[in-house]
Amino acid sequence: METLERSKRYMNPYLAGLIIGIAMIAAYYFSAEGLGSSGGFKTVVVATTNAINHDYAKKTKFFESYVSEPESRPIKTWLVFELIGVMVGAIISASIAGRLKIGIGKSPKITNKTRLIAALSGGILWGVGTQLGRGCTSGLIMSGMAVNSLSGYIGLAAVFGGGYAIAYFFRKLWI
Amino acid sequence: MKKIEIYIISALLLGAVWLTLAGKIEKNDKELCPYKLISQAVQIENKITVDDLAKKLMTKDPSIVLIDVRSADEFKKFSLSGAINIPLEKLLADDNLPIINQEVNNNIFYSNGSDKAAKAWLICNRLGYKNNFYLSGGLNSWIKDIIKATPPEETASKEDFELYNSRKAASIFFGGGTVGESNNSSAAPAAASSKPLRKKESAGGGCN
Amino acid sequence: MGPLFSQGIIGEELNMFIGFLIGILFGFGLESGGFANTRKLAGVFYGYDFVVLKVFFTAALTAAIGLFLLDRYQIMDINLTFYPKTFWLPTLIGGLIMAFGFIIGGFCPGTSLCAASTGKIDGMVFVGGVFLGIIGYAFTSATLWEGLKNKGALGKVDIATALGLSDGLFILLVTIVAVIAFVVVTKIEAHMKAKHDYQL
Repeated sequence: METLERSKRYMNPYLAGLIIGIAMIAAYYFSAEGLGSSGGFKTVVVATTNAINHDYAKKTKFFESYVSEPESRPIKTWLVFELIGVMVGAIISASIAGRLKIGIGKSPKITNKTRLIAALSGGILWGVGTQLGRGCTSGLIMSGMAVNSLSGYIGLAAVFGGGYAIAYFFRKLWI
Repeated sequence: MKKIEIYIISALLLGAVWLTLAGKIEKNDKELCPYKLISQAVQIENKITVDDLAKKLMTKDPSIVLIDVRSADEFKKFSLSGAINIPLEKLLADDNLPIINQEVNNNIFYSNGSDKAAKAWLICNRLGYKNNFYLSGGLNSWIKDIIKATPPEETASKEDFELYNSRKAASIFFGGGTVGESNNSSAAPAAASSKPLRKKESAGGGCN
Repeated sequence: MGPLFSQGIIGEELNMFIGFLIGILFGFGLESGGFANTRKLAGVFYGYDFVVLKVFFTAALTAAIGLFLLDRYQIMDINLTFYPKTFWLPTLIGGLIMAFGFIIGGFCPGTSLCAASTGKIDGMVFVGGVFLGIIGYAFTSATLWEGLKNKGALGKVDIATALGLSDGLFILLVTIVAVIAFVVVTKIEAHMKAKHDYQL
């Protein structure tokens, strides 16, 4: 079966985990940073808003602390560089394994349109959730767990516990 | 289970057991490392912004004593008027103790960035000397924000303009710019020092 | 002694470059683990593919064990690193919102970026959604969220200390739980794969 063979080409999950774990140790050792994603997204939004309308950015509480504290910015932009790296790393891995092609990942039982609407809605929910919860799976949960932070475990319980609790209601999207 | 999975899982378990057995290594708490103190320095109210300093100097606040903690060479090239020079290395020399350990004046340490001055403050703080502060951002900020104050964007808020006006007044007061001077904010603080100031210092990161 | 950047041992530019390299390693690990494939990600909630759980726990535990060992042997001071402060209420509610996002969207921000950069259109749409979500949050933050966001502040809480355990013992317990989970989910996975014909 073609699909099964393709999935076999993925790296052993424990080995992939080990690589990410080592990347995280390096991030902490060199830069005192966890591996994050949503923080980098936020920086892009803040920087864009600031460029378009500095006055608004300064007055709005959400942007204020990022715009007016210059010393907090280098650390924030670290995440942007990290994210650029993530994209490059993903492309390298995908091209080695021959997975680099345009397509839509979805359950065969739903249409492309359904999948894209779901992806957009999911993204929006993540955008809101990460800002409220102070980080995403990588920045809040994985990095938090790496340093035994309580917030990481709360995030783990909420995201995965919540996920299992509601999975049944959205099963048509996936199985 | 594949071999590699057994290796990785065993490594994780062994590492966790090792970690548990390693226990807590006694950390010498008495000798706090300097960077911990630096982070403490950043949190406590012990620094003064360039704007506040400018105001105090313009009102001729008599309690202010400016202490330049850079080297004598740098001090000669450029310093704030009225400042005295105590290089960081000589901070605790006998002659200088009466200056830093006193209860009357407010000492303000400054250097090119924040680091050296913050170190001077830390040393004083650990010795229990009071009434010491350091200039946040140091001469870099002083030159950039006060002497070469640049007008805000036209769209900027009213507060920005007020801040700019007070900075401009201060700049003229200290003999820096004239009205309508070029607003080239990227100009290096040439007057401050012949050697280019390091970026890290103005970022206020760790110590070196 | 690390972390290097906080102590000024490495400069800002080098730090950014290292961030880029670390990102490459992270992205490589994510993509080769299958995290750019939304079907594999969603599988964890439906029992047909537990790659998320395996990669995720291996990564978190590797990092935790490594970091605390470095801290023990004074190669690095963990107190100087990024340490998420705990605000339990917003994290809980935000986490639940993210849970919906995960089930509906099939990605999280980091994995969507991997998917988007390797040509998955749903990944690109998801990334766009994340931006929209953050912008939406930003423009409503003052009215809707600001009060909630700072509720339940507990500061820096170490879960092991809170439970009265040493950091090492807590990590050991989590590792044991994780290993048991690895064995169990592998069985579930095989069972589900035999029973249903899922396409990944």
